[in-house]
Amino acid sequence: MRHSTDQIDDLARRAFAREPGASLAFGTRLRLRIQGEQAAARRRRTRLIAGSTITALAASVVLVLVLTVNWSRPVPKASTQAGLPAREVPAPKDGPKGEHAQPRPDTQPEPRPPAHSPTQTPGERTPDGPLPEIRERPQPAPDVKPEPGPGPRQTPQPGTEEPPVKPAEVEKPDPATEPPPKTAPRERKELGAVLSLDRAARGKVRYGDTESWREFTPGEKLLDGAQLQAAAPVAFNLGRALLRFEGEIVLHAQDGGCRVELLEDSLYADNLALDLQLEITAGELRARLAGVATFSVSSSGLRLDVLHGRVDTARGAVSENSAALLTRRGLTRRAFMRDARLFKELPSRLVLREELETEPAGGLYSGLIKAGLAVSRGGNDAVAFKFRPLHALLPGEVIRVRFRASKAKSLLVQMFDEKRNDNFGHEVSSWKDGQWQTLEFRPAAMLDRGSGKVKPDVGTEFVNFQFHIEGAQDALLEIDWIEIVRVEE
Amino acid sequence: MPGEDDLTLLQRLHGGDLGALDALVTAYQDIVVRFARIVTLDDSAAHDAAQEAFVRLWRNPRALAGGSLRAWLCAVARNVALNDLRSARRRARRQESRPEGRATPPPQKASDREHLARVRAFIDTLPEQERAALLLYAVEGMDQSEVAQALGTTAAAVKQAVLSARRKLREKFAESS
Repeated sequence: MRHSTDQIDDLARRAFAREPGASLAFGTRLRLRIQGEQAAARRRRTRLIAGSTITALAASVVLVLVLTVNWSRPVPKASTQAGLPAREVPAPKDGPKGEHAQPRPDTQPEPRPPAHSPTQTPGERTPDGPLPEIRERPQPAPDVKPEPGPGPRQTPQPGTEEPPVKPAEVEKPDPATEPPPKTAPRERKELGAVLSLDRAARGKVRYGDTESWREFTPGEKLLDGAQLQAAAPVAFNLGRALLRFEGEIVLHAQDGGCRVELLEDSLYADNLALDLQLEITAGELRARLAGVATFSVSSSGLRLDVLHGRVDTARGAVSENSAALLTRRGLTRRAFMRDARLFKELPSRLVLREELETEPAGGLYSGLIKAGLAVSRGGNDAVAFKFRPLHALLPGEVIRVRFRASKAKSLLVQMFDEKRNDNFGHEVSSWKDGQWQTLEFRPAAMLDRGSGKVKPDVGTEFVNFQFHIEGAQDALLEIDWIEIVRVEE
Repeated sequence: MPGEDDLTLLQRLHGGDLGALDALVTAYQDIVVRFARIVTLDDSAAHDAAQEAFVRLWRNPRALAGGSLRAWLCAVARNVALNDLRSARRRARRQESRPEGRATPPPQKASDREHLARVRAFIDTLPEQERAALLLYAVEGMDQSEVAQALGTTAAAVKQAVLSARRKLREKFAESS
């Protein structure tokens, strides 16, 4: 059977029908490149203007000097020789003939030497560098301002904290030694920090297309505009939210949270029960997360696998334990992949830690702070404080308490759920009297005090933390610190 | 001539409106990338070339003196891609991933998808001018003058290239429907 021309064209069309067009990140990459070129052009213009200004100033100075020297100079006696005194050009008597061959060395223009004298040596000259730019930049404020965390009690990131620099201690940068501007992005908001990365990740970061990539390590602070690349999963925090990605992403600060642009591969994000808004975009596709989900970008669209909470898109929402493919045309349901790689091997991270050196933010309403410890004396008493903000139970949470109890008959940890109007409790089954030890338990396994059968759900908001002691009249409970950590479920 | 919308967008772009560029990118990114891919046979190189075409449009929106904007974008992407392909490294990489023409299995009874994949692979073995002309003319629906603008050639040469590509496809896949 022979094909007609139309059939052949149709065959070709069908063969190309599955051919993808531009990747979802095409527009984003293009914008990044254009923004980079615009920034580079602005810098060039600034340098040019600064250079021109300096040149003009130098020329003015030279001109003034020339005029000053000419006018203030005493009139030489042998003024007929173009104003040059005879002593300045001594003609050696025994010099080679050729040197004398110049007919009138003194007749060369004279006013030039004074013009050169102030700027003859490079070291003495006004620096050619773009002075105005240097003067504009010695403001290290963006690097030392407090973290913009969502809550008033931002959990510390071990190894990533830097002592705040007092303004008085900030040295004015030396123009000669100041680093190039590309490594010190100005006024970029700090969004989070790298928590962990696989050795194979070869994580790289840059700020804008005009910067070259550089490797990052755990603890690296991530600022607004950070473009990140990794060949294996890299975990980082945005405030109290945990994210993990492999491929390429860009972080953008926005009101109340952050936008993560997924350029390549996959992203895990968890902002469950946090007041941090998280938007994930891939090209023109947008998804807003309130929960735990993975996002994978490919030529077919943005795949969403939602483990907890929900993801909202312009085409509809995806609820927990379900998945969908978001495209320009709509949202197509997919089978949920609970075993997605990014859901596994999550790093544990600190959600809250109370050192109890001072009263917690919500206030200690039972017990007292003494010598860096929270202390409760008496046979039926407690150390208790309020959470501020309320503490929402997250998946995989573990509570750790370092304590010492003396002459106690029973120990009980309780946390109050205002919605149920009931406490959830954990009875400490064993402890060593008078010795420091660390209690560890999962709050999700606590039971309500009313029926003793109900466990708290993920997202349950606890009002307070109470550690009760029952025992002799002189029983003593001391707590060194309390921390809430999230570990992989 | 560019369409009225294109002209308006180009004028806005000339005035520094990046929203106009976004609109043009949205309208033409797919065709330019597909075309660059058929020229380079390399997805990454195709995206690079297409990006360069749009960047050049942004730098100089008046570079389009006349004719079709999409053809102009394709022409720039093609020139960029071909320049890049001249580097030996990329050529070597391309050769590795490029299916050999003679290695294409003969058409057999197979599922429609496999058949179309074979047709697609065979198109990749055609000379660059023929496969590009076929894509733009038969698949993307450009007219011959537009294709000629994109390929930097004449309408007659485009016609010849399309005919040649069709003939080869017909010979290769005559037995199958």
